[in-house]
Amino acid sequence: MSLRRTSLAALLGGFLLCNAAPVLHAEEGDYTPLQVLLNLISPPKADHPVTPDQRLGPYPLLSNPAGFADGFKPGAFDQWQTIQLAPETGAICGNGSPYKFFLLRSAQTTNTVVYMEGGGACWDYGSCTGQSGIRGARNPNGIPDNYMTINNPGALLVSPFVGRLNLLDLVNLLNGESPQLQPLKTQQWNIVYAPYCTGDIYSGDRVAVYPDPSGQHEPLIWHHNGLRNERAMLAWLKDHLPRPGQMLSTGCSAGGTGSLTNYAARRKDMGSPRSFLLDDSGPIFSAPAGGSSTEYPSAPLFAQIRQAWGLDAANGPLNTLQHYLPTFDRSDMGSIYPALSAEFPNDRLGHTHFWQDLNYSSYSYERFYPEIANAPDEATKERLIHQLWAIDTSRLRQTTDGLNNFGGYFPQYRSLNESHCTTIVDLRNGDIQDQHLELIDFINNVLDGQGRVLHASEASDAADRAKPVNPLYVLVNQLLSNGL
Amino acid sequence: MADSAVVREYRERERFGDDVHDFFARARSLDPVARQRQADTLREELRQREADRSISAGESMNLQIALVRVTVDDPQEQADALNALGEQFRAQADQANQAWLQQLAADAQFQRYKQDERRIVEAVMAMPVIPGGMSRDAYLREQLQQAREAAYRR
Repeated sequence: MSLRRTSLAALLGGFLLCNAAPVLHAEEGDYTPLQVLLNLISPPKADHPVTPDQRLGPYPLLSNPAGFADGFKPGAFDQWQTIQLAPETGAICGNGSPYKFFLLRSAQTTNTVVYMEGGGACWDYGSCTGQSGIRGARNPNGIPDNYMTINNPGALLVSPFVGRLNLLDLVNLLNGESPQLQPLKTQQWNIVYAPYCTGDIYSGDRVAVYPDPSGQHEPLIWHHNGLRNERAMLAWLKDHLPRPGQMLSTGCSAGGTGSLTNYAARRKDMGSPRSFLLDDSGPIFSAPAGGSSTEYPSAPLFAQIRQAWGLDAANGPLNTLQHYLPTFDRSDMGSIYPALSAEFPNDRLGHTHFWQDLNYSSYSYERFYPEIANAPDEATKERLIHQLWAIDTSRLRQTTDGLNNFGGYFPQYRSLNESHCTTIVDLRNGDIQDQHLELIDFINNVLDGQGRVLHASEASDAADRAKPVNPLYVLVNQLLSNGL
Repeated sequence: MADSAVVREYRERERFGDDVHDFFARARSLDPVARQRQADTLREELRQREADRSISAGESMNLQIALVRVTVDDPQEQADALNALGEQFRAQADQANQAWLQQLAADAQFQRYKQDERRIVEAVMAMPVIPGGMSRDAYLREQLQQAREAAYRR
């Protein structure tokens, strides 16, 4: 015992010497330097595991069975770990292969980012099989164990929320200028990366059987299992890690939408003292039942996905969402914004997307409006899509403007990924120049602000389009356009 | 000693981020030879970080792109180097994708489940009445859940 104490004392002395600078910006959920050292030697355990009540209900929190090799190494801090989920948890990828997620554990804090990966959506044979020419969903073949460390161009779309390196200001540094962007504090948090393999914005619960329109292949059996994957991941986090002092739910595209739809349940079942939401480019536009598509352009999309993903099933996803959000109106999924705002008045919530988005917008309208699908040229198609997107975005902006704790940040354009996702690759060029705002201002306002969450919208894309060519964006766009 | 190694390794991983930032902050002030040499050192360390999984593929790729941009001044040569890097990423992605498909094909438990899956789906879709008053969708999900658990227990 005394030898261990002596060893610990010596280690502490060395550790504190190497960390001579005082801990700055220590926040709720952070460990002290002594605790960090102790964590390295004796990793902290779960302190708010799944309760018996939480194992009940239509979407219970289910754990891996005893003895199941989940791959978790408690002491492997700052190393990406693959966490396996057994079939007993209810988790599965769309193609029937096992679901897994990824963890970058921090010794410094309990604070946690849960990042949901983006990647389209699917609701029929063509879109769920990854058939070329149709916008589909990511990972139709499931998730390899080494997913986080495979060099593939899709990984270039990584968000600064995912990883430890502060590469945010490389552009300035490469140009010999001084750093300007503030570091993103969540880069030192625990990072949970939820990969996307169900094509249902992490919200569905239905085994679909999609016939091949050509008749040449067997029907596709596809598991829209996103909601149960989320529940299984949450169960594991509660059973293996300390409860986060602060938790950020975020993601882009489908990951943003999934963060939005799963926020209430995750928030309540995790029970963190402080919680934040940042939905990047995954809007749920208002489309009340019976509403016309002229007034609510996303109405046809919602009719499709409600059926395809089993959203309206008895005791299904929307019923469960309403259980966690009593003021959520199941007939209009766009009511989720005011419902979240009302249910969690002390949380800071935010939504962002570009006015000129051509990706999520295409998913939303292209296959539902013949005049778009049959447009004579790309310019016409783009114009028609943006007209509908503007109607939907205007209404969403109006909705968030009326919510003090749900901010909205709507820049115009970025020459990357069809102006889709503001928080991927870097946090640049999501600026609203006429209000002297950078995207990081919005992010920091959500995470650290006081009072009304920032609301801002850009009127013109002229300044954005006048920016010089960005070689990194050119490369990323090229790689993405080559089908990778 | 093992405890010291744990702390040492942790500090090494922390230091890498500082090294990256320091290099890029100084890079333009270095002569080309020194810049290339330090970039090569960083690339080697990057490979070590990839091997111990302390850096994600996305971070690695962004860093590799930045290293090209800071060490190759001629615009055409830089474009060629970035294209070559892109080709490398693409090839690695194809390789990884193929490896995963082969792994799935060789996964006996997964293949067993997929056979059961199709049989169960066909059977449930053909049932005129669903037992227990469940919806067809709910019953199908339940049957497939049981099949998965059985397949992966064997």
